Amino acid sequence: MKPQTYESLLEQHFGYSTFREGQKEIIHDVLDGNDVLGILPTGTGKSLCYQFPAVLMEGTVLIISPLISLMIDQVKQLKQQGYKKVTAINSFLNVEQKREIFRNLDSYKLIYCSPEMLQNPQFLGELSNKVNVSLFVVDEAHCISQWGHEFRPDYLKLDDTLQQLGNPTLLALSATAPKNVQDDIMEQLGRTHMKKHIYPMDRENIAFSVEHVSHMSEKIERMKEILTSHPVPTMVYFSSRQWSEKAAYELSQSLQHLRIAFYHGGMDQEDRLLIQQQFMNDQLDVICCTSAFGMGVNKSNIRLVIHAHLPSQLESFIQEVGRAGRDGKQSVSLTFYSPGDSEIPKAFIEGELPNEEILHSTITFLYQWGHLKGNHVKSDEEMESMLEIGEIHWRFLRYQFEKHGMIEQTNIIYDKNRWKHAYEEIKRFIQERTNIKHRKLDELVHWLHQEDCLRKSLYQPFQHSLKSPTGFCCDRCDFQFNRWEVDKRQYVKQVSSWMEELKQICLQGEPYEMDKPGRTN
Amino acid sequence: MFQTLVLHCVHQYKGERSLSAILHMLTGKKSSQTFQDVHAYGLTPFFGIYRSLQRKDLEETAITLQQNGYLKQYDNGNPFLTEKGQVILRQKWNDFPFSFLNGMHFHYMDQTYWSRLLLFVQTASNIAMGEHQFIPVLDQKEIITWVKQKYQKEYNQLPSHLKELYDELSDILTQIPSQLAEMIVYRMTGYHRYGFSKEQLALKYDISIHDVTICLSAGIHFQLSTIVSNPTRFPVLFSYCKDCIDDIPLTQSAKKTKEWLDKGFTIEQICRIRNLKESTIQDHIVEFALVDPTFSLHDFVSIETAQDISHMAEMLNTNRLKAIKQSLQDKYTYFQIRVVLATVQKGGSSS
Ligand SMILES: [Zn+2]
Repeated sequence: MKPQTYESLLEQHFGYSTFREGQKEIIHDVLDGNDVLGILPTGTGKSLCYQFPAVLMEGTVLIISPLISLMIDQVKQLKQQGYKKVTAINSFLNVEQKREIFRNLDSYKLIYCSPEMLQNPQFLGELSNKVNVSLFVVDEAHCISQWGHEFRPDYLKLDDTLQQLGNPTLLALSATAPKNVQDDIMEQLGRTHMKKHIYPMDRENIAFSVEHVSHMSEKIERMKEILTSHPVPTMVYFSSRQWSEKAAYELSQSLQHLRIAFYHGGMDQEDRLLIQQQFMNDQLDVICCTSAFGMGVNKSNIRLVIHAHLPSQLESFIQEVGRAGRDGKQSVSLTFYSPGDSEIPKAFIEGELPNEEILHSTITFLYQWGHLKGNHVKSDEEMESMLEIGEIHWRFLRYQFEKHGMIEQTNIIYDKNRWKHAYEEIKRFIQERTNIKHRKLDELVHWLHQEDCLRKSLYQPFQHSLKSPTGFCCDRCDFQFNRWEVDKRQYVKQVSSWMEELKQICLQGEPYEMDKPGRTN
Repeated sequence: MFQTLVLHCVHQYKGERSLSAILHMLTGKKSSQTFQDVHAYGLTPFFGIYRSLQRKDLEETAITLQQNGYLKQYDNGNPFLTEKGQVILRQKWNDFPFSFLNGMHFHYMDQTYWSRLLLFVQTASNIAMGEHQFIPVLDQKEIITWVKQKYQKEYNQLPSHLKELYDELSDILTQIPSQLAEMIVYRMTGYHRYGFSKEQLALKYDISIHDVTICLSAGIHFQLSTIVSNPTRFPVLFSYCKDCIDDIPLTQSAKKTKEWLDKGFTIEQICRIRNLKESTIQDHIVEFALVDPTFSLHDFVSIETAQDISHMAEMLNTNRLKAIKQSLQDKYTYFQIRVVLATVQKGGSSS
């Protein structure tokens, strides 16, 4: 296959006329049979790097993805483009659906699954017997390093799986992975000689601004001002569901010219989809959300991303900011900080892994209930409810106990010295992981208090050189809201009867105008 | 509205049932006990009208009502209405479109009908406008399959189908309060216009999300009862629900039992064949008594027994099995009492 024909294939199969930065280079190497580590910034079309080879390669592309919602979104998008030979295997399928998919496993060109599913012997058996896996993709590969060590240990078993599948070509993709994470990914996958394609993640059309305020109410007041002078498509990130709801309510009370809604993981699936699609479809101007919103959001004209609360690390921050300005036009990242704001992510970090008390009581329980009374380890759900601890805590501990030989399959194997040692080791490990996270949060907080250029200091840990900004740089250099001019065309609030609405939906009455303003709420 | 409904349920249960019974009733739990209760306490319109209701939400609502002094609990935890609660219930009841609800008739088909309609309208209006790429608002397989088949039938007459849908829907919706009609329409998705989420509707009308759910159920049930009672006037909408109508709403296991009974097997034989407890088979029979219009009571109890029991229930003005059993000096079994009461509640004659 000659490279010059790639463009015509791209047009033919995906409807784009040109590749975006990095795509073609990665595809080229993959098709040559090289293992590739690709770091491409958010919104540059990572998925094309394996969807395109899937068209040309014989056999099947297997994609390991961390989140069910992400898989389902991808499969939906592909099917919508008319690509049928694709499936996602996840825990939401019932026995019947799974059997159906397994039966026809060799008919799919792309199979998405979670690392946990790959440890299912039946699935792996079907896969290695029936399917010729020619490309093994690890999407969001930083999860190996981030989660693999804690509560998703199956991420650390991918190297074995690769061998069992006859060592197919490997492609690991991520949007944000600093050097140490890149090394960890390659080590854990057992392929230390991957070809690296690392693309800079700085976005030349996004300007950065940080405002220090004293309280949440001040943040909301400031948002009202900014959204009045700059009524642009906006995402506002909050750390909790309650705040996203409360802020959406307060903002919509005083910003009558804007259509504002909230989005979080507590809403039901159907309603989440409606809100997401309204936003994509320009029926909404401002969305107040938690980090649950964003994966799979592909809206090109988001102009402003506000962080009303902080995420817990620079990587997440960069990903969330990266949703702005996909169309290349001037966009802005605004972060609010008030004293005490870092306490929220701190508390989150502290709660993420079990503390010493939980560790101690769990080990005591295993000793008394398991060793003395001769019980076996039960299902995860049963253990969680007996121990009264959360899913993630139990998964973390179970993995640690297995690692230290305290649990084998469902057997509890007691050895006084070994257990003592393990207790100390696990305690130390928890401390170490927690320290790492605190350091990552400190980096972010430190960035917020920078006196020099925000752009430079934000991207410094990830890359050596920076592109020069196409518009504003940051508020330390040249940016101010009153210097940023935006299109002020505002939606006129339309009040129409339900009869009129129904007419439009059913395409009755006057011809529908494409750019007619949407409804307001 | 939801609060008023909860008050009503508490009132109807007369302190004889727990909060869980209300949860099972509103979520449409398919158990003989729930089925029977719903009939016995006159709650058939509300059966299964809020299938996504969470226990904690119901509990929260009950606590609020308790704090307002509208309800209290007996020692066994069963809630009952206070004087104040009864007054507020009488005052508020008529403010809401409860009369449109008909859960017992429609709970098993309302979502199917409504989902088909939503997805077909979205599909038809997009394709009629030349837009072949859109994200479907629903992803249940049965619905998508149905809509695909429907589309195969209608694809060369989409504009006229949409016109007829518009005519029929606006005909129906003009018969209900305009706010309710508006909610129904705002929920719909068309070309380049996605419908409102429940949260958005709640915000717009300044009501709770529970109220939104019940309003939508009421709006959908009103459509169904209008369509089903006059299919010739609403032929297009009728085509969205007609294949669902004939089902008698029985649980799967009960259907099996019915097949064996119809073949002439006795309860004991069926127990052995199906390897089920006698009480389970009896539950099924009580279910038939409640919903099956062809059910013959006297295959199971004599005429005298039936009269005795229904007479006593009437005299005591209760549906509490224990009370009835004791008053009849334990002459009859619980099964005999339940099956008679069920027949009476369905509106059949016990003599
Ligand atoms: Zn700068």
